[in-house]
Amino acid sequence: MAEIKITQKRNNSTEIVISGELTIYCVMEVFQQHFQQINLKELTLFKLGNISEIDTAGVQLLIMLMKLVKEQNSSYQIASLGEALADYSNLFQLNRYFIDFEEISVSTSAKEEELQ
Amino acid sequence: MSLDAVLQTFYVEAQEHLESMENVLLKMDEGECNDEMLNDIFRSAHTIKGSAGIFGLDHIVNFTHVVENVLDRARDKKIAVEKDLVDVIFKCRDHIQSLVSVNLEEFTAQADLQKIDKDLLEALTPWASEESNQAVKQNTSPTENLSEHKPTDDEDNGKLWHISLRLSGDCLRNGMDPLSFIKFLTSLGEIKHIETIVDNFPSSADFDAETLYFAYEISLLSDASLEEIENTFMFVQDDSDITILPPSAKIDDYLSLIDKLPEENQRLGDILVSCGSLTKHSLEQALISQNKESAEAEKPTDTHKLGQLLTEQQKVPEAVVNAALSKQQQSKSQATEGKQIRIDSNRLDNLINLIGELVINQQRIDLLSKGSKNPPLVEAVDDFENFTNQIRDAALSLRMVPIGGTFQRFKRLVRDTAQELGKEVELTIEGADTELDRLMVEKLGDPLTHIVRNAMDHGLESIEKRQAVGKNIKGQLKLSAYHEASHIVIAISDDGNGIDKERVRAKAIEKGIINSDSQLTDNELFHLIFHPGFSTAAAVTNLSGRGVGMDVVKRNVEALQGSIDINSQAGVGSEFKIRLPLTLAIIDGFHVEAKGTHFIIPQATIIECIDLANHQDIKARHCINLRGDMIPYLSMSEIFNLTPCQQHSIENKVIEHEDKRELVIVQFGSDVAGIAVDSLHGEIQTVVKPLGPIFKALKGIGGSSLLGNGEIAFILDVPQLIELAVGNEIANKVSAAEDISNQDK
Repeated sequence: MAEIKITQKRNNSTEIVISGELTIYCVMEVFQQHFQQINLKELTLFKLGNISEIDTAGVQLLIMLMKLVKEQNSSYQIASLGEALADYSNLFQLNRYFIDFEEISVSTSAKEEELQ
Repeated sequence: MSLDAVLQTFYVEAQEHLESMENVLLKMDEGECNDEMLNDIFRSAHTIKGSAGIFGLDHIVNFTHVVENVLDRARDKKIAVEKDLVDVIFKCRDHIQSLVSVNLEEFTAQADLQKIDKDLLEALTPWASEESNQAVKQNTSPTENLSEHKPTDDEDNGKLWHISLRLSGDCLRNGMDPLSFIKFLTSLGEIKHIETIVDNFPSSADFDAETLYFAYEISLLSDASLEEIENTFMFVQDDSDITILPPSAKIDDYLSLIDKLPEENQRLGDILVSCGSLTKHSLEQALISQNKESAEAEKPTDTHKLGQLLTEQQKVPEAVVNAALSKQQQSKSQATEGKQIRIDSNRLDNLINLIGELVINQQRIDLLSKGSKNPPLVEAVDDFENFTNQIRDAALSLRMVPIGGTFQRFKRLVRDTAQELGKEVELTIEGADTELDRLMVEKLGDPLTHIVRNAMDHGLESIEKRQAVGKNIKGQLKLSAYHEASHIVIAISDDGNGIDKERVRAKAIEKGIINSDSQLTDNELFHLIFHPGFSTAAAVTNLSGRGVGMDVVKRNVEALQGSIDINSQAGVGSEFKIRLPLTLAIIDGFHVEAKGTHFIIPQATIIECIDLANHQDIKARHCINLRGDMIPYLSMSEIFNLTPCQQHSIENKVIEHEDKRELVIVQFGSDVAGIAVDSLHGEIQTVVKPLGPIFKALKGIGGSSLLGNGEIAFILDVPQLIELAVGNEIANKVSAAEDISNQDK
């Protein structure tokens, strides 16, 4: 089961931390409880480094969140990307969403520390 | 479909593929081998591997992969199919069967299974390694070797498949993650590019997290066949839109694909270009020409003409493309032509039960309508009855399956048993298409196995003995099935030594089954082998000789309302005939009554009904003279100790034993007997309800049924009753003979 932590920051940003298993078994609950009514600030910062397992349903949820960012005229950055998600992204060539996305804000662990 | 249901489908299909592998291997074992057989067995192994891969059953994938490689090398003529290889593949097939029955965790926990896995993989090494090529390669001509070699670039271009996946939205919910398919595709070749299309995502308000919105365009570099690639998606193909374009696909095929798909044309074109399936130039040219043509014609785009044009321009080998496409179309049309669906057998059983209830209700309506004396209603109910009968027959036919599937399994049993016994046996199968109720087919497996093993162990002689008596060293074993009246007969015959009557007699006396002075007919003597604990085998073997087999055979056959006959001739052979009713669910019966108790006699067994009063009854013998034949009969009231029931007896009149007037003459096999009853009520459709275990000891009753008026009727087990009548007749004869001798004294 995935753990979700959402923090609305004073610097007009929203931080979304997802950790654990983000799979078909929990995506529905995660989306309905945490993201369906979410209000995002100007910048959304995703911390995905602790996702231990992800499947297609989990990846779809993340891409939906990125579309949500767009719908709410926010922009996003990915502060960290776990191994499971990086593997999936590479296999399905989804790097444009998770690594090479617009505004070139590929974040590494070092960058994550900076932002914090 | 839930994941469990899909897994269940995998198990069923894996079993079918294993059976198919076994059948091909049996033919190979007999020295027959051709490309088609090798393709068949390879496809079976490959499909099992592929499906197992989708479910993450890596233990099956890893082992089957090696087997598949060896079979592939045999297909490519890199290795020869020798007896040793067939033997190993047989063992591998059995091992795959064991692997299919366990999950990955169970496999990891079972050391013995892992050891077999390891041993078999080692045993396959001589055929799996490259060195094994040489022997065959030496035989190939230099020109063949040259023709196999192609420059790498051309080879790569010639293997690039394009796969377009628009999977069902329920895919994820059903436990099918596209990740599994993509992973499996990597085992078939190299994925050059995947374009994950996210155009179908709804707005956040409409987003359903368990629905699949992704679509995929994939280019795959692979040597695999169209069928192999198609099989990757076998569990989702029914409700998905999957297009697989072969390496030789024309540009108009790609344009058709672009037109077919929901996404915007230009975007899809770009995706195909990024996949490497089309070049940017060819796409641009094609789209420009297409638009131009459609504008000129002022009608919708005719992609076919454009395709022809482009094919000509690009000089694509037409024959190759057409062949690939016709194969693709053929495989699709075969899939639709077959129109076969797989149904859970429980659902079918449920349908039969419901139709049973319908039949009972129909009888009730029939009874009520006749009581109403309303002719139009009676006529309507007659029509209703007619349709009920048709529905009943149609539903029962759904459960009928050919016996051939069961017979085929014996080929392997016979092969292995013959090897174990050091005998040579040839199995002949006749009447494999004969159909029988599925429930009976399932229950027949064990009795048939016992009889076949006994025939091979005790019946067929050793090679030396056969040679000594001038017989062909190859023993003949025959399994045949055919219809006889409304019964099916399954005969198992051999050309062995026959049953040794003297040995059977001696053993029966030794075991205390019969007295030393008992006079038995051949048939009675043969039936002694069905006695519990009877075995004439001097040594107990793994196969038979424990004396627990043949009595189980008889019990199982009787449980199916069947009987078993034996014919045997010393030195010539034996034949076991199992006679079974076609179905056990709903039968046509004849309703009779004795002392207020209702009985149903299966109509198929009835020859005629006669008035007992008009025939000479031989006193104290329960026997009548029917047109010169002595027919023994049983009185229902005596057999079941019936006393007249006040409520049910006709007009409270107590019908005495002497009052019985009607005799129903029944036949089973070659035996004929009469059943004496008080009254005949006529034909009736009978829904057979089994009696509980408490009534198991009750001889002569095969089940019960509910009548239209709500009363219970007992269904008579005619074979058992005839046995009883014949037995009584013999006993009566003996006592009559004793009386005469006493009188003489």
